[in-house]
Amino acid sequence: MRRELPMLITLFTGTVIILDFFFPSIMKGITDVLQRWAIIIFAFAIMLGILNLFLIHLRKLLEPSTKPLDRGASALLIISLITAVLLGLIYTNEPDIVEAYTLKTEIVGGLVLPYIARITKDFNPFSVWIFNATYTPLQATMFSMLAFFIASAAYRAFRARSFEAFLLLVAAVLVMLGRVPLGIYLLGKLFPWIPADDIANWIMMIPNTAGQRAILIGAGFGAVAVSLKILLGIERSHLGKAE
Amino acid sequence: MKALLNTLRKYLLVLEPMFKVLKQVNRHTVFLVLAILLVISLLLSKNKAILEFTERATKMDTYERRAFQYVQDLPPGSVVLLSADYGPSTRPEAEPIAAAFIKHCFKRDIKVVTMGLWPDGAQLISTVIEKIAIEYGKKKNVDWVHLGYSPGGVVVIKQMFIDFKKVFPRTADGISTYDIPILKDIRTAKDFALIFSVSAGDPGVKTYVKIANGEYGQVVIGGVTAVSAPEIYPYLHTGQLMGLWAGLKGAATYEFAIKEPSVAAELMFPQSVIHITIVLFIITGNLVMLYDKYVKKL
Repeated sequence: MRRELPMLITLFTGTVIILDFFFPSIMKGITDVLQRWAIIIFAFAIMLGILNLFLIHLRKLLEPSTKPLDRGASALLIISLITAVLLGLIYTNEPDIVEAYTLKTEIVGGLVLPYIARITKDFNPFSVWIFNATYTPLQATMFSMLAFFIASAAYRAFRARSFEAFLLLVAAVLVMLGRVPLGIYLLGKLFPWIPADDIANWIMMIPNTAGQRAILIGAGFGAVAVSLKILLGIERSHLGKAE
Repeated sequence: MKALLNTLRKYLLVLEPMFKVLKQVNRHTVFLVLAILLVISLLLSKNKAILEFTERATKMDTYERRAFQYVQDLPPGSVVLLSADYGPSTRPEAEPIAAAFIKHCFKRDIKVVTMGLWPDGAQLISTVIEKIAIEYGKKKNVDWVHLGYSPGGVVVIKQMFIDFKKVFPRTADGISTYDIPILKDIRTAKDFALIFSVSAGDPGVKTYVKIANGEYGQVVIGGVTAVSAPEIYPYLHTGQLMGLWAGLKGAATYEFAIKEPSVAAELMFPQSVIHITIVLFIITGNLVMLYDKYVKKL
């Protein structure tokens, strides 16, 4: 029953959603409820994900075979997770009354003493600080490094070893130059007969679109096939391993 | 023929020391060159002459013009929905597009409702709209409102077209959306004059095109990162997407179009320099390969 029940739920919800696409007026009531449930399930899935992450790292932290560096990383993750959750919970979000707490300092007898002050504000300063001062720069740094890796990889690996690779290389160079003002200017000076920006736009709008459309149609057929397999219970990997 | 090849070989072999050096260029050298050029170009990016040059070389393409004109033709007082579906990693590209759109709307007295299908995007856009609203003297909950994040992607969009206020019962500040003047006439997402999705992946522009436009006929305009632009183009051809602002170039073009050159316009110069440097690296790498492959065998 552990596998049959989820399969039945999948079959029922999948069929209802498909029927809704063809007969919206008939199915409206039931799909409306199902979709509202889906939003709630998504929210719980986030919580489940956090709990799963917490348990995995807790296990890694407690296991004697874990390497010291990995143990440190897991401990850091757990501390960060708990801190962020606790600081987020300080924030009360009642309708019309939005309260928050902030860290302030006061000089008492020549000593600077910190204290938590209750303020009426529309944001939680702790969560905002975590987001702006740690999460944002960390993600931005990771992505910014890509430019350096791409440049290095382009120099060492982007070679015209075949005719197809040569075509790809020429297209890439023209798009890269045609999308920046200095590139358009330089190409215009070196090769006045090449309108770099128009060529870049043409590459994006014609050959690129043709290729993307082919991929989309192929992926669409693939999605239909996989969806049917899931609905009919042929594909069961989403249910986990059989016992 | 043999004599000609010998002469050619003699001349090309003169270049051997240079190719030897180029072959020894490792990734650290590439990183260093890039870093130096990036710092210099960033320092020069605010230069007035460079900005004027960028403006002259930046022109709107067909789809950018279509997007711009659609907003331009909206009657004052219209309410538009801005969905911020990006994160801090794509912020430098996506945020200037969102900022330019908000400025464009505020200039034309169009009311803006912001939200996010990504939790990060919802957080980021709240700061952006708050700052621009102060700049333009726009009132919160009257001229603009931020609704925050709702999990669910496709389902959220579908539900927004059934009952918008059930998906967002409260604003990000915790105020009931039934009490917000800007949302007075909004029953479903179809009541918005336009949906503008600034996205860096999924859920994002593609999801809005499929559900908002495909199922409900709502007008959708997109703002995407340069890397995700290629997969959006098919929807522009079919008219499912009204217009598209792609990458930093799209953001800069939008800023110049609304006559508010800002961060994207400034960053076009460093981007130009880095693009040209990468192209030069690619050409050099290929010359080294060709030299090894053919000249040495001559």
